[in-house]
Amino acid sequence: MKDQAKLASDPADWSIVETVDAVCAGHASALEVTQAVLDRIARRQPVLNCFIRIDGDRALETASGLDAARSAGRTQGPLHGAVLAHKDMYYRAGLVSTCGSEIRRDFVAQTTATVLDKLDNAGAVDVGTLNMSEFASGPTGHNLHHGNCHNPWNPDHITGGSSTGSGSAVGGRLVAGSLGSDTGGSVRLPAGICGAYGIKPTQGRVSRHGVMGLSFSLDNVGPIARTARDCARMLSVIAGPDPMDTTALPVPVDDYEADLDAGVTGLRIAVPKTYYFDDISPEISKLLDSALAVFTSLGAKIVHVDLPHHDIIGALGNAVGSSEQCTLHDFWHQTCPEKYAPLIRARMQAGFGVTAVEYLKALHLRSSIARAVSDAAFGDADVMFLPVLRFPVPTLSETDVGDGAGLHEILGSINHCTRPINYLGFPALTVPCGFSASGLPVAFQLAGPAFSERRLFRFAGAFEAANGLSDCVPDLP
Amino acid sequence: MNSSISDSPARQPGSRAEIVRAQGVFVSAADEDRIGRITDGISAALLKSPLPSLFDTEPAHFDRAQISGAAAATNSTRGASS
Repeated sequence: MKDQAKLASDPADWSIVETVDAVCAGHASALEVTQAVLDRIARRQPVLNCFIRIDGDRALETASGLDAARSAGRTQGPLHGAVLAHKDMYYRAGLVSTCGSEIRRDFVAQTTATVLDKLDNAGAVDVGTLNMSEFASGPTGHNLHHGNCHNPWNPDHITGGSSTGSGSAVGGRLVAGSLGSDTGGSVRLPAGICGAYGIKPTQGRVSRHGVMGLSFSLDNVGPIARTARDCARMLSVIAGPDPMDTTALPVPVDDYEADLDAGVTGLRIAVPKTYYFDDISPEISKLLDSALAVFTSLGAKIVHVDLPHHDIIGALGNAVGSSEQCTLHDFWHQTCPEKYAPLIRARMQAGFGVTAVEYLKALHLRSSIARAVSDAAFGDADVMFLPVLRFPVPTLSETDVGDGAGLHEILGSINHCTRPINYLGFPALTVPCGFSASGLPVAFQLAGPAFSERRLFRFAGAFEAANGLSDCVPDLP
Repeated sequence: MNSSISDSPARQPGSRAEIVRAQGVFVSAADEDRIGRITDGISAALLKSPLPSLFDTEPAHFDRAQISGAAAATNSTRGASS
């Protein structure tokens, strides 16, 4: 890190890359950075409730080990000294993973997730586990068992879910990066709603071994971070095949940071004419138009496209996701349904009513629909530009629907723009682009064909450099 | 076979909830309505299937190349070198 003013600032404000550079250059120790982060967590956790467990002693011990290694002339890897925390569904052998639930409040994992091993081996410091929607099943941030998680830009508002703590802790500058999981938008929503970058990688890009399952066809592990480069670096570390997970595809891992500064001159952005922008609020529409104007000022071209099958993708994805979720939760629904929050029990339940033929039809159709949408979206463009939310970030009380009649519609409106991408299997990256009149973040998604993550980061890097929102910070203690 | 299309679960109000109950899962009156609406939506979507027959297809699990392979063909940027 060359910036002396930055070096003099609170290390808890440093990005992942700034931290790694400072620690590896000897300008700061991993122990100092970790202590600064723990101090900040102590101040902000009472406001945000983004942690389920804070592992202070363990984190300080890891940091000391990293400092000892550096003193001996060794650096651990591309995350040396970066302080992270993850959604409480990434298993670490011997430690509790609650999955945001009452049912698993005392569950001790017997194995460690491959992605945690990879982050450890790259030199990350894991400072604790983060709040989440119960069993990763809810797009708002409500949690009856561990308390609601709060938006760092205004605690009355939702964080987006289900990776609620990940969005809140990164957006609130408690940690520099976090793993969320994304089955219908659970990385992209909290990232966008809390003012951070978050990527749902291509289906099969990242191992899911040792990670709580929700829907094995739609689940994805993805990082949330404050900058595009940090997000790219985390993905570079966790991506790739895994002998413990045969669904992690043997496709070579790109250098996702390589094109961050390459610009977008001559590249093309597809903007769908229908579905994603239907009923969008004028305020959000205006901000997204401004974001597109930034891209055109950088030399990109906009093309408008018609996308097929979006009238049925949501229902087909629901057939797949809800069936698989019920398969995993069958025993608890039969034996202890009262241990679920009413909202979660009600949301899950429909999957038991989907027939086997319907489930398999929805799966069979996935490839041909994904190909048709890919051809339409990317036949004449490099990426697709989509909203994250079509309206300003709502409050916790506005979205506290319990198990009432409006549950399906209200929650469905929140993940309207994210859910189809999981069925299609494409990668999609959330990029912050401004703030609504109420002071809450607004973001857009960039989606691309399978394994085009490097390209998505190229667009995000160009936008970030032009827009400079990474310097905006929430007003917190 | 004696059944007709009118016997299919989607066509009988409440029958999907019965399928759920038969699996030992508690279903309230509000749940029954929700389950009906969601599964009706799935049935309607499948009736709009872009493929008249799925006989020559495989599910995405076994056909990952169609997702990842489609990418390989389109994975270079069009307007500039990547």
